[in-house]
Amino acid sequence: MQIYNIKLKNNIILGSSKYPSPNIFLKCVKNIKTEMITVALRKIGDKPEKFYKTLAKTNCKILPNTAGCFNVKEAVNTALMCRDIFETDFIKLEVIENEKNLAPSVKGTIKASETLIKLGFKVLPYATDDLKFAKRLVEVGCKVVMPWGSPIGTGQGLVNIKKLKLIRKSLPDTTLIIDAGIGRVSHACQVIELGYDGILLNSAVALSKNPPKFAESIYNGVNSTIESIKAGPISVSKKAIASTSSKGIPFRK
Amino acid sequence: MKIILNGKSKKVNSNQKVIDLIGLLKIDSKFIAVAVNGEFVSKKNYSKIFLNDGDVVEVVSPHPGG
Repeated sequence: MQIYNIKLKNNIILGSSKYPSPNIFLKCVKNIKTEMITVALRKIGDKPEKFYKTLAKTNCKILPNTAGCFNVKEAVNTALMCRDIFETDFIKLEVIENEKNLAPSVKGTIKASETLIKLGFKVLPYATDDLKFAKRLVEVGCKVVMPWGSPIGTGQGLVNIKKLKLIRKSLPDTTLIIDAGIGRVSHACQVIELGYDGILLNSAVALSKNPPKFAESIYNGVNSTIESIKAGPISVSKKAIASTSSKGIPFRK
Repeated sequence: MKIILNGKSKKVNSNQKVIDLIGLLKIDSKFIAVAVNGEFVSKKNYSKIFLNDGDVVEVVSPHPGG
């Protein structure tokens, strides 16, 4: 999928949080074959270099986030701090409005996107499934938009398929990634079937009972879906159409 | 003078720059980023920016995130 000036072979971006151990995280990265990993910034602990070194072992591109920011100023300054450490212009922009369902702030996300793009960032904004919101993000210069499937960490999957379809149809040239809400392999497959470019997930893998196995399953599911689309699935019909020939049915004239 | 470092009060000598604080914390600046009073301070400015009494300083590093 196209992320601004780079093309990723894999359609999956993986979060780096909540894994049972750094080794299990690294196994998941390998099994899901991701090329891009999301990370955060937090106040320094005892060994600030420790996680940095784990990240280096992945050989993946880093997508820092602004998780936990509730206004434009916090988000912009966090993005600047991310760029200072990771030396990347990519930023996963989160400006949260509602602490309960972690819904993004429409105004805040648009304003912060606009500001960051002017500062040379390549912004990947976390959005809802609202078309107007997504369109405004594109208007201010976002080449990638990341609507939620459902609220972060819920694993509910894609709760509003009609709205997500409408965004895809209305923004054919924008890279669309479903960020948040993925819980099962089938959800990830659905994202691809809707014509979305990719998936960003974390909790679904990290909190599963066997994260490396789940990561592998997500990769296999997504790639089977891509291959099946290439193979050309049948059109949907409102009417039932018998598979077996109606000629020569026994006991009929 | 006193600054607030990552939410906790910390005594530092006066006329300290950001770079002096980083030295005091014994951390490699490669792995961190800094904001003073909510405003980002780039690595190249660590030796230019003086800290003042009451400054709120955030020193952050990479952390797992989704």
